[in-house]
Amino acid sequence: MIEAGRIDYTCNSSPLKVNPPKMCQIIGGVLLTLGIRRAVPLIHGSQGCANFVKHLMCRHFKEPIEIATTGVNEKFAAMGGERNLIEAVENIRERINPSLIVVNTTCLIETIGEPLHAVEGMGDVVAVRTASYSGSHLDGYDRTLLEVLKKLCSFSPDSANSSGSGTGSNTDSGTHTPSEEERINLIPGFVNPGDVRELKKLLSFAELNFLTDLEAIDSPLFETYFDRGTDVGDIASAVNSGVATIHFGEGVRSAEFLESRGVESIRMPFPAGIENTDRLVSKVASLAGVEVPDRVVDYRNYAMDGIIDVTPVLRGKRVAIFGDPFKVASLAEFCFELGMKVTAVMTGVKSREFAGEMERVAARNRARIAVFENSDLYTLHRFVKENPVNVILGDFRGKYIAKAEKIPLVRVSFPVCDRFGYHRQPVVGYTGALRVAEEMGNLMAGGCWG
Amino acid sequence: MNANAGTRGVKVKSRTSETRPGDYTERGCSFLGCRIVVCGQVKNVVHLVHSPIGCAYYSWDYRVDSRGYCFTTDLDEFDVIFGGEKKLYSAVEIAVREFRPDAVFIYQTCTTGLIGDDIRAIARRASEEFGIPVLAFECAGFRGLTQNTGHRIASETLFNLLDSNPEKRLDSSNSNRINLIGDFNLKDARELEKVFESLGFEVICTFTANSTVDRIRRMSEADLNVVQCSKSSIFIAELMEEKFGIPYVEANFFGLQNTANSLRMIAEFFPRLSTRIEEYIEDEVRRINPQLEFYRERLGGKRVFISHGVQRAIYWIRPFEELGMEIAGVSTYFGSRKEIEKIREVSKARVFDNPSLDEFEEILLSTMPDLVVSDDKLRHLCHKLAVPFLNGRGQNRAYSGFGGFMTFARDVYETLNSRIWALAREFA
Repeated sequence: MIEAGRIDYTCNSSPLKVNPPKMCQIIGGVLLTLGIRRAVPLIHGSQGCANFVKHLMCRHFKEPIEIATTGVNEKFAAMGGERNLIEAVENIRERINPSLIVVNTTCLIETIGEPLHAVEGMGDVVAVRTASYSGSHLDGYDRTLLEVLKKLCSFSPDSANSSGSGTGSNTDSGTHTPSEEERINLIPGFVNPGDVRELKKLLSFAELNFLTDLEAIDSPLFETYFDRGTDVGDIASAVNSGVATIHFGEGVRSAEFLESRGVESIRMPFPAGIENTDRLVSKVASLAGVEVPDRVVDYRNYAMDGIIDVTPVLRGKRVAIFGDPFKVASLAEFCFELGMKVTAVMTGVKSREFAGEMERVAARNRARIAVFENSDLYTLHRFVKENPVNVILGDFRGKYIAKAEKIPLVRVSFPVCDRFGYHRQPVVGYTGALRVAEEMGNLMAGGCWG
Repeated sequence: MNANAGTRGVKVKSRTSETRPGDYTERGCSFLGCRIVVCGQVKNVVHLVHSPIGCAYYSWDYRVDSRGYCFTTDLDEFDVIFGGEKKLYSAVEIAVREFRPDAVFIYQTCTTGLIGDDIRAIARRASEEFGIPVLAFECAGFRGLTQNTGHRIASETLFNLLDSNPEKRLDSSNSNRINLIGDFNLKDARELEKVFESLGFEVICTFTANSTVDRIRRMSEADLNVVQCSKSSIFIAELMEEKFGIPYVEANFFGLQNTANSLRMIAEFFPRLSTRIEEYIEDEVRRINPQLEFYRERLGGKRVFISHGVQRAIYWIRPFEELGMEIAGVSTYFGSRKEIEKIREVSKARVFDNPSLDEFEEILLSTMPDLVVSDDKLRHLCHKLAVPFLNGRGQNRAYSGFGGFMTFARDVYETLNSRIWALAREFA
């Protein structure tokens, strides 16, 4: 019996990364933009960048994602790509009539050090510097939201007023239209449409303003994300919230900006697992000034009923988890709730808080956890070879370890390209907890490896 | 071994119109053309992407049948300011030590192209030090207008792997050696290799699907190069003709006539085998004719829209006509004017150059096809609009050759006859 928990922490400093689960900033920016109604993501740089991001997103979401490019090549790179950018903006305005054009710059533009003055003064264009070498997909997501907020909140008078008439994605179409002051801003982070859908269902007792509403991406036949999502006016009115902004760590810069404009910023743990969901529910209830409604207790009890049924299969089983830092930390906590043993966690990004979070998880559960930061799947695989686990939690790239070690992989988060419907499967909330637990149980009880 | 880093300068010629800024383009960059289309298929090689994370991550398993690893130097701001050469060299060292590859391919991207890392020098040094080929591909994404530039860079750099003094070349009177060039689909390459071997050929290399460094090295022993996708891989055939005097033919194995014509064209170079080839064609045609009749009856008059790279688009037209189908239209990503003329020669169909997704939606409405054949780029749009869709790349199956044509016909038939399309459109 281990007396106190501890972590064995390694931050990768190898010059070679092999299979790192980390993406570049622009994909974060594009994801955020897809959650804004009638907004167009525009990648400023080589056309390959737009194609790559689009290709990966199409494979994950199984939706026709459209990303514009300024198509800068060596000829323009020498002269400066500003003309391409202006031409692109004009082309998009003419062709599509968007609510907002969100420009994410690429390595090409950033390495040259291109100015973006040409579009900075435009009310309908947000330009974000998102070179791949200065951060990850999570930074890209946060920085893009920050710039969108800065732009919309300073240009606000017109657009903010229009929000009342707009079809706010999360306002009830019933009799009561909530005032902007009553609404709680919620920054879900780099999550799936299924996660946002679950958060909406779970927290429907409060008035939420999703920044941004990624549920839009999972759209029905004959419709696309383009006409769905958070209204530009609703984003602009985020500064008018009289309550708070809730974020789970992946939107910290944006929440801090809103705080500088007078909206309290509240950091909650990523709501995966029972206790983390409980915390979010009670926090939102207290902010909204209501009791947690019976139906939410029902959701919890339905999920708990199923989860308890699975626990005999899961109890004592060893699990390795990889992905984005805050999601991994919450999923680790959840696995301990289920009676499992988390032996290793790995993230591909650099994160100042990851080690601390994992230390808390380890201490609380009196566990010893190997923690890999800024690492890769090759490193995790080597660890797992020497310290076998029963199951892996992570995105679909975990399949290489799973196949080699003949253990199940439970697919969570982004991307999942080799299966269908995982963008619809939540990890958050009680429903997310139930599905992750059940899937782990099913696969271990004789799933794909018999 | 003349496999040191790119000793040959890479010339880049633009052949196509530029992408209009602001379009939703389907085109990729030269890094994509080089890393994914041509080089990614070479097995047992460490494909090391010298870049920040983006390019490395997105090129990892981009093609579903190229399962593999992602090797990258994952550059950060420090590296961009102070240069990434040291990091690259250590990365190569670790990769060689831990993975024992046949070769290391180093890919340049926008960032490393701009900060001026001398990847050729690093490759040369590493090659000498570790005793395996280390190639430097100068395929930064901003070079050229489309991924076609990358195809050229890949071919010209891979050419350095070829044995410059092939042993058996002088004694070619008795050999039937060929290279199959320009097939990037594993199953197709295997299928064709089997066919050619059964006909008495020795297939030295399938370039690049199912290829290895060793097979590429021996390519210069061939008597004939059979080029399938000339858009992406004519370069290496031209170089081999120039340097080693190896002739090439442009062939394709999609559909009955195309396959038969191509085989006969190849037979002219190998008179010894021509009787056998002719017998094979007759046998196969006799074998598949009843099946073809079955499909012609059921598919006759249906209209298909083809959207592919220009070469595949040209090749697919006749097979569809053999199935009794009409061509509702053709679109390509980066065809030149000459190539688009070529499509017009074989078909009266309307041709669209580089349409973006939103334009494609309009094209679908105006041409109203019964079926769209394309690669994954259009899959989700077609599914969204409940238009029958088939991936013409035939992932996980071969569409080449006579047998492949019947697989293809069956897939077309099953796609078109699924009840799901009508059900989906019920409330449209």
